[in-house]
Amino acid sequence: MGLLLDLGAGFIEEWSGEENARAALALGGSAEGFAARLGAIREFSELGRFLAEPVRQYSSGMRLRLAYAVAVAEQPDVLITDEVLAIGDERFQRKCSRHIAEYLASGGTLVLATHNLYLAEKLCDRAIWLVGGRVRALGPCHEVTKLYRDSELEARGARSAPARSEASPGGLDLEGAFEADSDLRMETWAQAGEASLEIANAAGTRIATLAPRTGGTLRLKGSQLLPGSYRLRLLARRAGLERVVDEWWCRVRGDRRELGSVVLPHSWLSAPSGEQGPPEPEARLAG
Amino acid sequence: MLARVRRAAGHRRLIVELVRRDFRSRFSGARFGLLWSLLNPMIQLASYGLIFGFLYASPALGSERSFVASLFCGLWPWWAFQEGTTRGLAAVADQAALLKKLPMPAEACVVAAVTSSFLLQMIGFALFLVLFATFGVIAPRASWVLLPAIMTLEWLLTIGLALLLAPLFLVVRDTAHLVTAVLTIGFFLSPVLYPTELLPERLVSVANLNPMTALLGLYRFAALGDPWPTASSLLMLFAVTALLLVAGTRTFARLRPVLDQYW
Repeated sequence: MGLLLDLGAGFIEEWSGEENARAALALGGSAEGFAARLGAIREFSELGRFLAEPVRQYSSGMRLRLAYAVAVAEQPDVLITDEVLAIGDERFQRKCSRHIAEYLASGGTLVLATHNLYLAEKLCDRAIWLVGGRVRALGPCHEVTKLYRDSELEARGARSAPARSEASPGGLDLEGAFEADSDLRMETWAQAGEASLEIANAAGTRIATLAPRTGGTLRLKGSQLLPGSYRLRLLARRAGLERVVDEWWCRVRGDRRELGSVVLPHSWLSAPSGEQGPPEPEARLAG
Repeated sequence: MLARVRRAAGHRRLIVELVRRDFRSRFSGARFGLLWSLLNPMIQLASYGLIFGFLYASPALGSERSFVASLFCGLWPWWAFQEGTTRGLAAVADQAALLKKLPMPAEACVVAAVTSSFLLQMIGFALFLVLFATFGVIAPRASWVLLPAIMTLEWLLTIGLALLLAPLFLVVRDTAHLVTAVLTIGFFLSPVLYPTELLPERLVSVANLNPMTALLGLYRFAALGDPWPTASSLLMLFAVTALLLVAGTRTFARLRPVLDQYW
C-alpha cells in the first residue's frame, strides 16, 4: 500500500530527505532490496545533493518528488493519492503521469481523490462521486464525470442568466442544452453599437470570440464542441472596454470521449508507419 | 515474550536508521566529530590515573600501569551503562515528534538510544584497547574474543533498565534527576575505580548484590586476565539482567496504550 496525500504528514521536518526516505523504507517492512530501493528513490526524486538537506527547507515541489519516490519505491499493490500530484513542475508531473501509466499497465491499483476531472478521466476506469461523504454516483469514470459536469452546470445556470429587461443594452436567447449533432441557435441583439459573442469552457477559459455584430440569429454547429458545459457571453465594446451584457450557460451532450473543448476539422493524409498507431485525433485547447 | 522479541527484530532496520541518525546529529557541525568523544574520556582516564595512580598511589592498587589498565576496563563499560540508561529512559520523550509522525513502536526509540550510547563507548573501548596493546600497557590475549559477548550482556541489561524507567520518566520527569544521582553513587559503589579484590572481606557479599561487580569483573577477566568473578556475583548479574529485560518489556508493553498522552 502506497500513500501519497498530505505532503507534510510522513516527513520529519528536521531530518534530511535521505534520512526520511531511509526511515520510511525501514518501516515499510521487507529488509531485502533496501539499498536498491533507496537508489530508486534517489534516482526518481532527482533531488541530488538536496537529499542531504533537512526536509523543512524543501519547497512543495521537492516534497512531492520525495514523497512520490518514497510512495512508489515499495512497489505497492494499491497507491492512494489525491491532488498533490498537481504540485510540482511540469516535467516532474509528466514523469509521474508516465510512471502511473506504467504502474497501472503492470496491474497496479490507483485510488485517486480529486476534483480534477481531466486527471480522473485520464487515469481512472471507474469513479465514485462523493457529496458530503455519500455516494452520488458510481460507475465508469467517463459517465460519472459527465454527471458531475452537468450538475455543476445546473448549479451555475441557476446563479447566472440575468433577466432580460428593457433597460438592458443587449442580450441573447437560447435553449439551455442541446445535442452534439444538432445546431445551436440563438438570438442576439445589441442596443448601442456592436457586440461580440464569447464562448468559454466551464473553467472560464475563452475558446473563441466571434466577430462583433449588432445582432441577429446566430447558428453554431453543435458538433464542433465537445461534450461539456460552456459559457456564452455577449460582450459590448465601448471606449476600448469590454462589458458583459448577457451571460448564458449551455451544455453540450454527447458521447464523444476526446478531451478538451472543441473539435478541429482535420484529416490524416498517410497511413500509420511502424507499429505505432496514429495519435489520437483530438485537439485539446483548454481544459 | 518470544513474539515480542521477534517483533522487535523485525524493526532492526528501523533501529539501525535511528542509531545512524543519532550518531550524525551528535557530531554534525563539529569539525572533529568523533575525536571529541574519544578525547573527553581520555582526559578522565588520565585524571583518575594521575590522582589514584601517582598522587595517592596505594600499593594495593598495583603498579601504575596495571592500575590504568584496570581503570580503563572499569570506566568505559560504566560510561556505556550510565549514558545508555540516562539517554534510553528519556528516549521516548525526546523522540515524541518522531513517534507522532511515524507508525513505529516506542520501544525502538529506547533500544536505539541505548545502542547508540553503547556503540560510541565500545568503539572507544576497542580503540583504546588496541592503543594500550600497542604501547604494551595491556598484553593481547585470546580471551578478548569474549568481549563482544560481555558487551552484549551489558547492552541487554541496560535496555531492560531503560525500558523499565522510560514510562516512569514520561509520567514523573524527576526520574531522570533521581537516576543521575543514583548513578553517581553507583559509580563509587561499583568497582570502577578499584578492583573487587580490594574490598574488605565483609563488604564482598554486599558488593556481589550489585550486578556491576560481576560485569566489570568479566570485562577485566576477558581484557586483562584478572581472576574470574565469583559464582554468586555472576548468578546475580544474570538474574538481574533477565529480570530487568522481562520486567522492562512487559511493563512497557502494558503501559504503552496509556503513555500516548504523556508525549
